[in-house]
Amino acid sequence: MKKVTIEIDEAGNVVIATAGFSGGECLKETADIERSLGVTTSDEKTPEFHKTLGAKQTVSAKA
Amino acid sequence: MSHVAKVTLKIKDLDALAEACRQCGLELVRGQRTYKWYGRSVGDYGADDLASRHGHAVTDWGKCEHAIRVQGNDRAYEIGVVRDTAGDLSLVYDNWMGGYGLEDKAGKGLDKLKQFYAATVGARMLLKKGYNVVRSVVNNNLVVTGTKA
Repeated sequence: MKKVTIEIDEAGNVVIATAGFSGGECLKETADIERSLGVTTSDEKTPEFHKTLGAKQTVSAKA
Repeated sequence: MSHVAKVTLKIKDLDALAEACRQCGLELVRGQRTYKWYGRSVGDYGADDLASRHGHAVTDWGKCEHAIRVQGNDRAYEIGVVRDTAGDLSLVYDNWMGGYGLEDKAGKGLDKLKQFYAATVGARMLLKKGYNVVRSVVNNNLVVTGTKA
């Protein structure tokens, strides 16, 4: 299940969190929400984000 | 969790602002070009949020593009919807004595109105995207949660 949570504190600060998305899908999903609300000041990817993007490995061996 | 973003709120949607006003016991009067305040500056307020530091010159105090008033309280000061230095919409008001009832509805610093505005915008965006939306209050924070399969 995909989940988007928008939390607004008493000072009007907004935090948007997503869950259940694959890789960069979450960024696309909330981009227009963030723009509609104002200016994004920080954006932290979570372990789930990086896991589903896949990791590149380079292996070098010396003879 | 996939990502967490922090957003500085900007007022962009007048329809959402009107709805947030309604939820707070206020009324957005579109096209009202003046807002009620003391009427003249006495120079007794110097905080960072002073309107003249954010594009609303002292000579323009009392003028606005739209106004927000307190329903059922003609004595209360009003909120002016004006443009800031960046050309974005901004809310200004005379906070002397809490605006004589204005802050009771809109919150100190208009924080409650801004909170409701952001929640309205967020909920509308999520509904448009096909989410099931639930609104709740957690530790005085408004939380809008959207879920879909």
